[in-house]
Amino acid sequence: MNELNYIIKRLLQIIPVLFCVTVLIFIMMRLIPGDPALVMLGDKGSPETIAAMRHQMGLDQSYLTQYWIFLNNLLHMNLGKSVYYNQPVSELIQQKILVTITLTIVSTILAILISFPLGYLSGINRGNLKGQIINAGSLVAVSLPSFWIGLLFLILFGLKLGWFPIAGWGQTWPEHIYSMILPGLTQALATCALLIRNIQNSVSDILKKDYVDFAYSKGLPRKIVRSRYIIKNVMVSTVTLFSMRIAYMLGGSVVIETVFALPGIGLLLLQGILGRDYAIVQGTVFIFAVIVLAMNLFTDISYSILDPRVKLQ
Amino acid sequence: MKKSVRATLLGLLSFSVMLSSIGCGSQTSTSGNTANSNASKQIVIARNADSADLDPVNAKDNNDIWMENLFAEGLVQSSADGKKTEPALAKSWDVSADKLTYTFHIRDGLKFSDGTPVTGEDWIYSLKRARDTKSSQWAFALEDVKDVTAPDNTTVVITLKDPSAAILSDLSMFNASVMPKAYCEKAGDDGISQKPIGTGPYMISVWKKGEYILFKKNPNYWQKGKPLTDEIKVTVVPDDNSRIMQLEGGQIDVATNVPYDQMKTIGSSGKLQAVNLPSTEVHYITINTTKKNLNNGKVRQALEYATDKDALVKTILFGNGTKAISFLSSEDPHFDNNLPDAHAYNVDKAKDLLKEAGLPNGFEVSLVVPAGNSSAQQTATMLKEQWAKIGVTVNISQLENAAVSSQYKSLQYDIQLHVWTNDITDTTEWVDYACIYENDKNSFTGWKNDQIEAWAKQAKIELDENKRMALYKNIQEAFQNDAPLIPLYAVPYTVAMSKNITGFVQTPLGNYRFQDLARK
Repeated sequence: MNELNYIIKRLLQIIPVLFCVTVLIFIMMRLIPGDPALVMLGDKGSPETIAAMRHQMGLDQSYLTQYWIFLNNLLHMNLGKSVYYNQPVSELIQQKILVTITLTIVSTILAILISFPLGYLSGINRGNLKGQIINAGSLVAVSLPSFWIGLLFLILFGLKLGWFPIAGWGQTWPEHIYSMILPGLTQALATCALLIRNIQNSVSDILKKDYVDFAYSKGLPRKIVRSRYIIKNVMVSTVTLFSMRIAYMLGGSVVIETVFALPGIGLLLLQGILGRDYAIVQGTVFIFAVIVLAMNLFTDISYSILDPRVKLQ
Repeated sequence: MKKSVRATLLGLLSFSVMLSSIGCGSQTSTSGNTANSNASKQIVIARNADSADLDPVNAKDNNDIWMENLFAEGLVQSSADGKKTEPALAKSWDVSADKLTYTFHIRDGLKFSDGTPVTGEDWIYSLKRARDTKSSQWAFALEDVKDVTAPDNTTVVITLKDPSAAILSDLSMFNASVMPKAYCEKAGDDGISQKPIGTGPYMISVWKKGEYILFKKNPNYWQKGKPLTDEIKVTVVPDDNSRIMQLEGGQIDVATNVPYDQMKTIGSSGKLQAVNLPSTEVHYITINTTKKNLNNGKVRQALEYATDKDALVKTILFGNGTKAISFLSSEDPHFDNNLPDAHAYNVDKAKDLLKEAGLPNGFEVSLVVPAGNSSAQQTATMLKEQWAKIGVTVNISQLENAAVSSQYKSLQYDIQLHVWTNDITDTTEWVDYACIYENDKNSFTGWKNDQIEAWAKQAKIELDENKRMALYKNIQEAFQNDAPLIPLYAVPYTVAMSKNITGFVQTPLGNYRFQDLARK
């Protein structure tokens, strides 16, 4: 019951946070210089055309009225209409979030597959050659810019070896997932580097704990000590880091989307900011805020599952 | 320990088998969409950004404009070389003696791609919508049109407020394309922007925003036997390198917006062709002539003398382009071929002029460039270096495009870098913008020259081509002397394609014409 109360309380706390997000994003978009109508019409737009466009965009209304329209629409689950694309923002986000979610899932799986074994291995081998090689590798992975790694992967696995398509996102689901492997791997590498470091530190710390020695001295098999005593404890700190990375990845990566020609949410937001398409920016940032808050709540809940000392109240 | 390692390995193995099976399965179907397997059916063209609004009336930028002629056509069109107007859906036309009434004779049996016949009502609706849509940046082209009538389905009569030299050219612009009235009224602006219907060689079949547009052959196209290719898929690949790699890997047939520095390598690779297509795109420096020092014509001339345009062409365009001496493009029908390079690179001359202007030690000037525009940034850096030789200090700063544009339109800048591309074959569009003050403060330079303005206005209504040519010649000479803009270079459209692709036509105005596009 306590848990349920806690979750309800947390969900209610989300409301004022989201309200603040709407105010912030509304003000910030209007503070940056550049008139949306001007951007839309370019150098060739005449003053009359610009005035007509401003009216069409509702920019001739007071800020308060504009904010009220935005908030009112939001309460009716309406994210507004993109002036640039002439399409409802919710439709645009729906189309693009699928790409970003797929990319996030693929890179998350790849990151888990790579970082857990390597992190664990370097943790138990801390100080020796094996551990140092993994350490150096993760340092290199986190230092290399992802556009460069992405291009390198495209040249090697796409152009030279022909194993993967060179950018794009295909038509069918198998194609979608297949074409996500190179970008997923590129994105996973940066996450892996962070995770490996974190797992390695946790593992070497936990190995020194009395309860691990105690478990061994009790005669518990290695497998049990590892899964119940070491890995479970490593998970606690890793989950926080990982959930933050996932929330970050769901925000879309402009670099990865550009290099691999993926029509994801990152490019949509960039387009919205550069084109001063207020509806797109307000809509996507709002959705991000919801995602981040949801991820935080999810992390806290998973804490209580992993660590019985943590109580949800 | 051993067991767990084995389990992990097994897990990894099964995952990789799963991936590779997905891989194999999709490789066949992926290549189904790629260039090679659909030899005669589909041609894939990759560009750097998607269209936003394909409604011919509300088209926003080149990504929209260049696509319009694939599915929409008007009474007349610009010729492939962009220099004159030729028949399109109208096979001929008569002009009244007072030059105020144009009667167009429409081809028989025309149908839209959805199968409905083109009626006189459709023409009236489409042309009036193009003229009267307030938020359309292209409405200016039809501002001389007083009325449109259609005595029958194959006759369209356009009456003008005043005689206009450019009216045919204006009517050849994409916004004057015919669209079905019933469909448009039902679909509204939003509907038309997503799926416009016209009489062009192709029709929009699928549009996945930010991903691709699939054009299918229009079964009702009036030119028998055309287009030659069944489907054209225009994909979006924002990164230049990825786009070229896709072309090298045979995943696409054509890559547009090829970076200048890659043209030579692609052309010499043997597998691909790199083509520079003539365009009307001219890059120039805009000078705010309301600012101190820059309000002096001698100073502006000095700046042009101090600009080594050949070096810019060599370094920034890698030789793909030419130095510009007139603000008009050499592809413009009224470009003066005999115009002298009056302010050719000459540092001494520039220094003398600055001395005459009372600025022997030079002065400081700020140059704001749009962030992320690498060619503008390179140009700015080179100008800083070149102008330093005459003592002019250029302070470069970067701002986002939207902010640069706001400064430009409110004349709150010293100098900026801009680009112009014509949308109609006639010279009036650009000369109106650059020389008739009331429109746009003469391309937001704040400069005024009554004589040039009078010539520009006269050239708009003068119907004798020889006299017009003489007027535009005068305008170009006088404009060059006043130097409110410093033309830098003219660039081509850079396209790379497989060797077996033929019939890729892009007019100097940018419009794609894919009737004859095919794979050999």
